[in-house]
Amino acid sequence: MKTVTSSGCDRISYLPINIIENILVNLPIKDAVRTSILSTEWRYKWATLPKIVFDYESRIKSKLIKIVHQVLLIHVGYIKKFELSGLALRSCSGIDKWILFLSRNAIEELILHIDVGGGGGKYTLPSSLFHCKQLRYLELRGCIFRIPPTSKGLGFNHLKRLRLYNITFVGSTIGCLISSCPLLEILELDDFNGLTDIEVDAPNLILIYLCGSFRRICFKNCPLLVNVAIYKCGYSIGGSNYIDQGRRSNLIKALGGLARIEELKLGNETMKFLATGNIPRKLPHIYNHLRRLYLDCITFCNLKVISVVFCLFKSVPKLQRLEISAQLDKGAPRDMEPVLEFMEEQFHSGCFLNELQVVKMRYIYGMRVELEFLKLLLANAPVLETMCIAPESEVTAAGSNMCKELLRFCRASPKAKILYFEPYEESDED
Amino acid sequence: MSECEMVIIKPEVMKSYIWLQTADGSIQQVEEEVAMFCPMICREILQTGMGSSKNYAISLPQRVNPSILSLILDYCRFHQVPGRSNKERKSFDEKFIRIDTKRLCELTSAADSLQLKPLVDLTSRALARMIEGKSPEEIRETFHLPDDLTEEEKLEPLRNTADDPRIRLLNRLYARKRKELREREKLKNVEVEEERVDERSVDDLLSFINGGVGDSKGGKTAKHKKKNRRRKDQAKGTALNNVSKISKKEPEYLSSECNNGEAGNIIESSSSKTSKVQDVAVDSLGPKVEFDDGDIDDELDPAMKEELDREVEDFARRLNSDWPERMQEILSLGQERRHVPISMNGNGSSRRYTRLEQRCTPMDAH
Repeated sequence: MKTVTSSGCDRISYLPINIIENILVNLPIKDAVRTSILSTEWRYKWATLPKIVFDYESRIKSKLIKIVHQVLLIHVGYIKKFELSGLALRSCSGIDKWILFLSRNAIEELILHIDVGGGGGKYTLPSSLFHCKQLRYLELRGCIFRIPPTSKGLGFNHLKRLRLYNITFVGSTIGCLISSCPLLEILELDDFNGLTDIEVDAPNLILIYLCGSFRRICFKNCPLLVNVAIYKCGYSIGGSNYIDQGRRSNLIKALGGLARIEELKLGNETMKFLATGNIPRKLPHIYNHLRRLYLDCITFCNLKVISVVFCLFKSVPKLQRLEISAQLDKGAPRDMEPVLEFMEEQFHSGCFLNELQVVKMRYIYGMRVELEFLKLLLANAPVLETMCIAPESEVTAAGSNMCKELLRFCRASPKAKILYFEPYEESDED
Repeated sequence: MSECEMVIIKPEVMKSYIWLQTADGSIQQVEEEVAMFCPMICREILQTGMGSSKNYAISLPQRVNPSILSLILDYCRFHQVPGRSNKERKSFDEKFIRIDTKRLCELTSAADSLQLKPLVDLTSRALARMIEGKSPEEIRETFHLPDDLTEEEKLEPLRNTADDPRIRLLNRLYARKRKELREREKLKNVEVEEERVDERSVDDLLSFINGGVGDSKGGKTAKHKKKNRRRKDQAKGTALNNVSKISKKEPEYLSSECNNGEAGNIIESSSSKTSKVQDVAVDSLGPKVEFDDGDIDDELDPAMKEELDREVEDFARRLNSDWPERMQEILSLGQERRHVPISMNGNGSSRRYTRLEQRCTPMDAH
């Protein structure tokens, strides 16, 4: 039943295969597969699609597992990218087979968000995942990652970026996994548990983001590492949370070996973690390239934490941007004297933030210690341009007092501007 | 157009031009920086040194005809200017692709042969937008695609594709068998041995032909517990069903064959006498229609389902007769259905007649 209208003959079906693939790749998976009922030419054009994406926009409400089965079965050839995200899975049957199938088809990008609704246990990833030797990008969410004990055949030789959200690790340490991915450039572990020691040995690593519970961390061989973010959560499995490792401070052990970093973010309980052990006056290494420092959850009444902060300040001569979020230490006494004394000492020890340009302070209460801290910064930052202050939302009465105090402080930098934001008013400038 | 440009050119601004020749022989000249925006032309110039004069024009690939070439050159002319903002480029692109489908396809093809990737991406995305969200008829109309798929091939591609009637039959049979066996186990433990033999034979048969499709049925019985209960009631009535079905079916086979007038007579008489039985059976046929391979049944209309049910019953009987003959029948089922009851299986047909005579006697169908 051929219908040829007056103006046209079929131009599109005979375009070269790479163009057809280009067109189909720009379609959501549903539309791409539906082209198979257009005409005989089009019946299997979609079957060589290099990217198969089942995400929230593909609006597959039911029979998802079946649909994925069918698509994978009919598909022919390499699959460069497979994504399954944003869709509620009711069961995990079949995922094992998909991963096995993908491993045989030279998959390069694999994104699996396995959020199984309905209270079943987490899904354990099959070992066939490690057969996907061509992986460049792996993103997993909501499953149990079992790292095999031996490092034989473990790693991904081409893996450049690894993102794991909400993962429970079982088995060997993650150090094995990281060191067996020699080309790894970006490592993001968010909301993980099950790890004790984190040892990062990654010669090509550029960015690392860690948010989860662990006991020890060290960076062994990371010459290219530029961005580091460590948000440590409480380690709940047995023993004390912060192991006092003899005399040497966690600070040195954790942050040693990060000579070339440019950005450092520390938050949650990381500061407390770093504050155990003896805190040196300054670190053995000077971080000559560190430009941006983001410190979250600084409890200003805690002398150890403040010592760590100043220790860092002394080791980062080229720091340009500093952002600090304060936090009230609910359990500890609000004894500010030791901290005030300590800061008084620091005040007289000379300039150390010679290149600091921007300071942002968030969630402060207007306590004496905080104001002294700001005073110290203002006095010791000769090229400071902007200081933004956004207090904690409960602070309204003390707000104007804080402003008055701030105005009184002397500033080493003639250009310094102090911007005071009402709670919730702050917008992220620069 | 390019010749006019040559005339107006100011002496202090000497632009250099590249000469391009399209497949049909016509030669154009174009400003060098515009031409260099195309990787393929750029490479030709640098590697072979062609294009500097009319005699040594760069011959473009066959897919580039003069009108499309001028479109492409417009694109290059706009985008090769470095100072434009992203917004400007984007709005130019959007206007640029507002051409008819035929030209758009030609443009894509030509851009691909010139390796102009940004333009290929742009046009591919435009074509994708024309396909996205449209019904197949609309897409066919837009691109003048021939509607040459059979109805069968047009079935929603992601549907369960167990469309072969043989496989369907066997699936149903297997499921039914399993249910009945389970009921039997509950009722009589003694006869379990026999049943198991039967089940094994069914299993062998099915796994030989189906290659283990039966496994998938395991998960589905849970869904249809209600229907299981109905099946219990029907187990007692199967005998009646068989009779009625036979009588219903016979007219089909025999009338088409038109040979055994005797049989026809018997049929007619029996059909009237068994009409009551038929009625009963018809009612109980209803629920029987939907059992546990729910996915396969979803797309059948009730008439089809009833017919297949009848076939399955017939099949069930035949399975319990000779094994080799059964095998033959099954394999030839798709091809020679009409001949099966009469010519091939003398056993079966004769038995059928005897059953007709016995009419309402409850049979042990298995």
